[in-house]
Amino acid sequence: MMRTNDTEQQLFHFSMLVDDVPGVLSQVSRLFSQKGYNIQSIVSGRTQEPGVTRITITMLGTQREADQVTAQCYKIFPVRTVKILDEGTSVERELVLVKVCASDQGTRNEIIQLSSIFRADIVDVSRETLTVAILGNDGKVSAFLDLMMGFQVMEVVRTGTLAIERGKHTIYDRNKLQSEYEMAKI
Amino acid sequence: MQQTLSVLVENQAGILNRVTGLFSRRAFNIESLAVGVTDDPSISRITIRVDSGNNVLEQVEKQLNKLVEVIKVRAQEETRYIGRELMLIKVNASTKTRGEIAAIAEIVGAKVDDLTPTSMTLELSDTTERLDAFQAMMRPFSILEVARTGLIALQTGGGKL
Repeated sequence: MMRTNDTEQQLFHFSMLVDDVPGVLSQVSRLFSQKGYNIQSIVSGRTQEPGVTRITITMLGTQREADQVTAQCYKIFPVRTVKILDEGTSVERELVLVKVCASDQGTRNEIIQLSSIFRADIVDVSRETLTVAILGNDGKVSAFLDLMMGFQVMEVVRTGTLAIERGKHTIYDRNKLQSEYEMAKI
Repeated sequence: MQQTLSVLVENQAGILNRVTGLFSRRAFNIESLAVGVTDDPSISRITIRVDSGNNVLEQVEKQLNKLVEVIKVRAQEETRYIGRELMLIKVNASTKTRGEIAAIAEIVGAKVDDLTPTSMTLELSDTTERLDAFQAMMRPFSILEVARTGLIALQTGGGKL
């Protein structure tokens, strides 16, 4: 049974649980960069278990590439589990801090208004600048940043995309994702 | 001691490897790492939380500066930066506990992203300490899953990296 979308480019979120040991992030990212995969972002952070780190790598590629790299991830010793999430089945969020020049009242007001519309928070104020924190999916964050680019942007720092599966299942469950069910249909 | 390093790098394939490889060779413990592009798409900014002593951090800065793709390195002074982290958390939630969880979420400013008959998924961005506190408050409900980013930071006031 051939899956029809083996050669289509899609966005995948590789969510991995790994042992928190020196070098694991380096090993994992090397795996992806060696093969020349199109990595959009990498996020690494804590989970609720001490000693376990969750790495989320967002990659643009084909289903075949995704399967290949998953198999290779398991060969890296500290990797405990890998689950691929996609746009349809997960909550995707990114946090971005933007510092913008805002010394005149008109600019300040405009930025404050836009932040309010996007439900972004103003986290720092100085005489010449405003720093805004925006949290949302790629569409919302990109839209906000595009608007900010109309002002004089001083600095931008981003976390990269974090993803978690929708519904009651977690990275610890070996459940079939929605997309897998659909792919099995002829 | 926890230290925060902000690093600007040319956005080239393999640069993240080179940076993290630096840390792994000398077995510094990276507590967290966040990387993303800046307003200039050819430049990425990496924010690293490292557990280390003062001397060690200076060495790390020197090593980072030796990498060709590294544009700038700055160790953020503790009191003078704004640090934020993002957390997505999935907790057990029944009809009985849902209201209580939502009330706690409202107090801290967390938002509900997903809801099922047996679970709730929430998002929160705040300082590391507040995120830890919120996670602790969720523990009695039984945490199913937590995903966190590393810290991202900008200096307060008008300066830039």
